[in-house]
Amino acid sequence: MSEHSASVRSTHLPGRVESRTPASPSRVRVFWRVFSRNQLAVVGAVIIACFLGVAILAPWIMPFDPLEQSLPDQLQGPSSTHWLGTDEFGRDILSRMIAGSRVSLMVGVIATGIGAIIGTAAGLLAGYYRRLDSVIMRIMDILLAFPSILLAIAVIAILGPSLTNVMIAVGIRSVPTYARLVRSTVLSTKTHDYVDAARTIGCRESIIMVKHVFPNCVNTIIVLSSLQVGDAILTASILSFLGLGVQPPDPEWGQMVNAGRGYIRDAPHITTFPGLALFLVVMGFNLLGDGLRDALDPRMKNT
Amino acid sequence: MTGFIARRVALMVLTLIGVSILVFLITRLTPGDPVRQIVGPDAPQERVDEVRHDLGLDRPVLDQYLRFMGDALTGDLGQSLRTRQPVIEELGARFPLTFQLTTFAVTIAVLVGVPLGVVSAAKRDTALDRLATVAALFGASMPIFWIAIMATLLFAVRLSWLPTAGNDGPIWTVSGFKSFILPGITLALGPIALVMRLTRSSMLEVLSREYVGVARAKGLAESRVIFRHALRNALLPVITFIGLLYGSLLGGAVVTETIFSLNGVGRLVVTAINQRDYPVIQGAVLMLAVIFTLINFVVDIMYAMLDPRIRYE
Repeated sequence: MSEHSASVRSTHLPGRVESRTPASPSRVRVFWRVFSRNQLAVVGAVIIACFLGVAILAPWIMPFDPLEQSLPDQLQGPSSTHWLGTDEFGRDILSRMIAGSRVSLMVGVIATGIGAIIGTAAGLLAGYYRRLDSVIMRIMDILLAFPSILLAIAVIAILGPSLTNVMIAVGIRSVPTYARLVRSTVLSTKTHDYVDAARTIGCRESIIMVKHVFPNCVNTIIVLSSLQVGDAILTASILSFLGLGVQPPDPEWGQMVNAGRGYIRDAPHITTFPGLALFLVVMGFNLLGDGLRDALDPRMKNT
Repeated sequence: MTGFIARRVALMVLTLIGVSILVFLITRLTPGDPVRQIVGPDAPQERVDEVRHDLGLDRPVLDQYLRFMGDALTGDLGQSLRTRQPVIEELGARFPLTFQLTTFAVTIAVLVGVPLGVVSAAKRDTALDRLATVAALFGASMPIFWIAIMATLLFAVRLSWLPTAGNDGPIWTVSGFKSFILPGITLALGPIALVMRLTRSSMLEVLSREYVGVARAKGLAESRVIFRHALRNALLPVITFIGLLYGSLLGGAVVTETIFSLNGVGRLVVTAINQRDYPVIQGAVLMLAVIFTLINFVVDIMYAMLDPRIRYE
């Protein structure tokens, strides 16, 4: 009800054209009420908070040096000294996983950021300026013509395997998704009366686009991003698993799973734990994303 | 409808041209001299110039692109730098396996995902619905390479029910089918979750429509309402999605093929990247992207035939 009256107010008072930001106190309260009722979303948030805590505190909580080899200790199962065992070079798996949490979370967030920034800019321009629309959206069609993982692989084929290039490849992969979603939000927003009102009082087009249309896309972008982070972490780990991402000896979960493949019969723990961590963190982001969507942007539910 | 198809064809051709430019650029944007990679770092300069001339790399870029396109249209995708075989032959030899694997995975995804979605929607907000939703979430969050290794450990290494890796013939033979089971199921896990979620939300939407209420008011059995009246309409977006899924799984097979040592197109791409075999990378990426685009086109047309409203967008 309050949301409805808010939109009516902003539509009928041309003098008040400031955009409705999602951060007003009542909106935050409404968001929190819906979000905190969703138990699965809270579980997701807790999982991510735990991994984030581990990643931040990594240098202080790693029991061993993640790169230090100790051949006499190789391929040991979990024990009181090495809680999750050791790998083929005798390196402590728990320490490598803690170090790897930094890499995975960083790749997830930065890659999503790259996709979100480029995709949002493209979607905003395409939705707002008709002249640019068909050019930008044809470029997006071309990017969409590659199956998602193949696009990331093709980018790596050009740039070469490295952590930075993984972030770029994974980021580029999500650009069309952002562009399409933001464009459609812009198209529906720009017909609102308050946009006309802003134009009538002499606002510049670029100001209208950034200050009055863009804030309406923020919720959509937040929701999509929270769902994308998990996906980005998965894709990045696939690239590392295939040997196209983070290079040994640097620890990364996907690459650790790959390294353990050869010892799967005798030392399955090398593969099991990093994979489990990957699964948990991706599920955390998916749960959180679903919860954010229900609380911030229920219309996205069926998209 | 003819106008609609014509517009779509025009868009598709435009997209394909863009795709071909991007694929052409793979070798041009790569740091380092592709000719040096062919002849080796110690070859004399005359040899380098000779190969550069033979490959047409000393011509203007536009010329090179047109030649690349002309060759590609006649089925000439160049030669593998490693095996010296024509790329088109390498792709042709490996595509059937990728095709069988993808088709198998899509079939599993539909046979499991659709019924789960229907049950989940019909029993909305019950324990069964929640269980299915959580299961779908698990499926969507699972790293495919990890679950593939774990499944191999359990079913192939410990229980010895299935072969660990490799391919023992086409899928329609018993030994071949056995070698496709693990790769097929692991490739299908993520898609099962997606198909289930989509079927569920599509069913829920249809079940709230008036004609479903009318069917119920007539006193029809609930199963008849769901299967005869709701499911038929709810399946429309699912069918579209299956088309898209097919294309994206052709790409997703990269991981599955690598883990299970299946000699398909996906594994070829990964090997080619590691060996810097650019003609093979170009050929495989181009082929998969073209197939993906064609599938999207067919799906668009099918959708417009099934749902006339789309044509007047």
